[in-house]
Amino acid sequence: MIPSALFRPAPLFSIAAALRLTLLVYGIWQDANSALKYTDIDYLVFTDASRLLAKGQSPYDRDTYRYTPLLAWLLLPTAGPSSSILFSFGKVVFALADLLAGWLLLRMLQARRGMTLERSGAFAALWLWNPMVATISTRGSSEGLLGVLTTALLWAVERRRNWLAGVILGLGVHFKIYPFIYAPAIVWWMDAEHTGCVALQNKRASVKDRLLYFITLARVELAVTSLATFMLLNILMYSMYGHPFLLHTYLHHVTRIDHRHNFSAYNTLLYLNSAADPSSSSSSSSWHAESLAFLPQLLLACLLIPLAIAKKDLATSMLAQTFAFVTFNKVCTSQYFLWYMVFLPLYLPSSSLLRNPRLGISALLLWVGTQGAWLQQGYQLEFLGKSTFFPGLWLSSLAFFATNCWILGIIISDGASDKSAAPTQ
Amino acid sequence: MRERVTFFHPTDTGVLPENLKRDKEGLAAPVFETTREDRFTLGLDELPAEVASVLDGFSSLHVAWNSPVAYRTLEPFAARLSPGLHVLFDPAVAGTFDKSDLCSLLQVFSPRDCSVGEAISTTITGPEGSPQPKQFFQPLEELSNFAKWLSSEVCGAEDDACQSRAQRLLSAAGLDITYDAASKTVKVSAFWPLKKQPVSVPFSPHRRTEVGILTLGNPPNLAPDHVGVSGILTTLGEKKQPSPALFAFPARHKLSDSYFSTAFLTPTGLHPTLQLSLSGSQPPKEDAECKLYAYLTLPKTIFADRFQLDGELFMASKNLTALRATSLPVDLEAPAYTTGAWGSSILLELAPPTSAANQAWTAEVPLHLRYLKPSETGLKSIEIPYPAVFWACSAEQGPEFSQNPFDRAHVGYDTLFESDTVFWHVEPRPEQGDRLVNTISVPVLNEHGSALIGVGTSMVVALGFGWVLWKLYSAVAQNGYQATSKADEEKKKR
Repeated sequence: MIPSALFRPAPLFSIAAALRLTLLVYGIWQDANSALKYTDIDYLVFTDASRLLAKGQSPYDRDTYRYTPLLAWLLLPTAGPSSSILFSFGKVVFALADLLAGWLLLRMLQARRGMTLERSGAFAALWLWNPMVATISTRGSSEGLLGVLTTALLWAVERRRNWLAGVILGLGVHFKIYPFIYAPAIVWWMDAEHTGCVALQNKRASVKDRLLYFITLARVELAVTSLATFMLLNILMYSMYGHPFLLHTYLHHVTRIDHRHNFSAYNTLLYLNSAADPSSSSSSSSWHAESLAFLPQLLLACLLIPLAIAKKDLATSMLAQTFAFVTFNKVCTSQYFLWYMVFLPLYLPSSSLLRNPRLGISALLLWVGTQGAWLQQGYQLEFLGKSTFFPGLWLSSLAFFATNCWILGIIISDGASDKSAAPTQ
Repeated sequence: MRERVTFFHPTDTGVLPENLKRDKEGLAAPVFETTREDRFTLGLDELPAEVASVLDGFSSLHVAWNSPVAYRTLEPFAARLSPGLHVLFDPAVAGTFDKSDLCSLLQVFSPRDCSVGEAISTTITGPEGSPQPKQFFQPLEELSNFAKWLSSEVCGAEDDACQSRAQRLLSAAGLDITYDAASKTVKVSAFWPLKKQPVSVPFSPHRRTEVGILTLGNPPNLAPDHVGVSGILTTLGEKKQPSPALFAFPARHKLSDSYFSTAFLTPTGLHPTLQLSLSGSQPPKEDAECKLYAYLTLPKTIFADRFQLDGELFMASKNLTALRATSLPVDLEAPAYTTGAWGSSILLELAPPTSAANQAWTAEVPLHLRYLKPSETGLKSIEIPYPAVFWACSAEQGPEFSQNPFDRAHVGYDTLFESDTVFWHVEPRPEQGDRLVNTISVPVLNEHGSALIGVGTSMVVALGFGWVLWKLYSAVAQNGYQATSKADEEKKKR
């Protein structure tokens, strides 16, 4: 086993940084010496957009740039030639974001009752030493930034820094939309007990009084700062880049029909229905369940899970919400898994997946196995040209979906159970 | 209307003057091995009214078709295009182009429903960013629809000569129609490849018909980049005997002595690689600067990712130098059935091996398939035409290609180069069979699953959702939703 001294902060972060540095240098070497690039295609999209910015153009002049201009701004130092050392600047930023997210995780773990430095370090290592996380950011995918935004959001809320939490929430939603699901959980969590105000004692208070008591200072602060941040950023970006900003950052994600095969349970149905002749809508194949897909997804992620768990364990609620959001989404690729993986170190210490190793190992095997089955079918399609859409890919995506629902059920049960996972005051 | 019929034959064949039969029927000679080009020049007023009104919408229009069946040719008919129907045009008034004009024009070549309003053109962008015409392409196996249209709309029912000439288009290998608003004329040229064919040119009192029976010759003092020609010229209906001719002109298109074939590497998957196999690596001229290019015309089912075709190492590993031009727009994600544009075209500079010896070699072009509509078998076969492969060499002293009576401009790629560029064409040869197309079997969704996919997906999602709801319900029923300490208090109160 790994000696526990390695989980002390200095070695913990040194190893995490060394891992990323090694991958970064290796990536530069591979890019320079092999026709097969280490750098992610998305990174070339970001840096192309930054180069356009540097020339005074709009980042949306680059096809498939579907992000906030903030990202292109952030990566402006990469605008030089791709042989320059500064070209890797963005990857360094993403890797640093990983480390910062890991540091926030560590701080939040330590704030929990009875957790030693080594033990919290070991859980933080699930993120910091995770090769998948390190690879994704050093290849230049921006998902690491989401990791730091969501952990910082949770950290700010737990620290009662409501203004900061609001700013981060607004920024996160501006950046990638999906963090809006955390707003109801945080608002629900910010009750009198959690924010240290006087609790509403009178059980017989009128509805009006209850509503008035619901409006706490913390909730107002969060609402105002998050909305203000979100709107200010949007107004700024809209004034600079106009309609293309709205189109590519937001509207594209609402109207897109992602027909290319991905992990989503809806994928095959989306392909089938997108190809259906609109003039023969009465045909037997038109089962438009996917048009209602947002209902279970948003009900779970924005309403039911926060209501049931947020007050008991905000971190687990955010994990379960993200898990539900990704599982029930119409599009699902492996980088979305990072969105919930960042919360795992906070959930696992009190999880039945660890308490009951058989349960934990079964969940892990099923999650990996159904994904592997899908990947095998996807490989047959993508590289061998075999028509595995039906039944292979379809069935494996449904099996992966069912596995995720089962794991989500476990997380919900754990989150709602009466154990103290809340941070000490 | 004027007509010009030209036979170009190899130097070792030909027609003896005594075998040439000229009478009031026209001109005839025994079968021999030759190419043939018929060219008609018409004024706008000689066209059917509806055609003339469609042409009004264009300031220039060039339609070029090449047969997908491999054929042999001779200079000066050296130019090659991807097999299929290419349309290059400039609208009369920029920006106010009516797509239905293009569509009704295309109906002459193959039946299509213009109410759907497809036929969306693209524009290729060259390195210099010089203005380029709009372009459109569609695969077209043969000219039968065009021949039918000619015989019913243009020829009179009793005009047997016209009818039989329309029918002859079925064996043509090429067709060019060019219209220029400035000159108010339409030139229609049909080309028959090098093969044994009878010489027969009917006389018509309604037009002047010139006939040339020519072969490549070498007049003294032939200027560089020029083609020398000798043979006989005659005009039908005139009493004059055929006159011998010897002349030369600069040629934009020439034949190189190498050939190529293309094939997709297997397995093709969803990201097929098109392999070009070339018989030679040496430029056709040693004293000129020559570069080798492939001009790909890709139907909407397949496309090249212009962002992928970048980076020295990557390109070099495929024996490519750089992507020099690409048509826009090209959607890099959408399935074929939601893509508006006809497809795309790209100009790639190839990187032949630099060793001194002339050697056979290959280059690979990475491409991507779009999703296609589901089918009964789970597979759908698509055809991708051969590219045009040529060496582009700088000419020595700005030749006036327009002096060439057989010049073929507006082939799609010529405007991407300097106007004095000479194109040395590499001959396309089919890998197997006689067609210059590559076939890919694209995996698609099997239609047999349709009903099950709808019901099954909904059921599994409903069950998964129900399971999570149940877990939520039982968790709240057991422990409430308040934080632990408070829940404990409430329990005590009870």
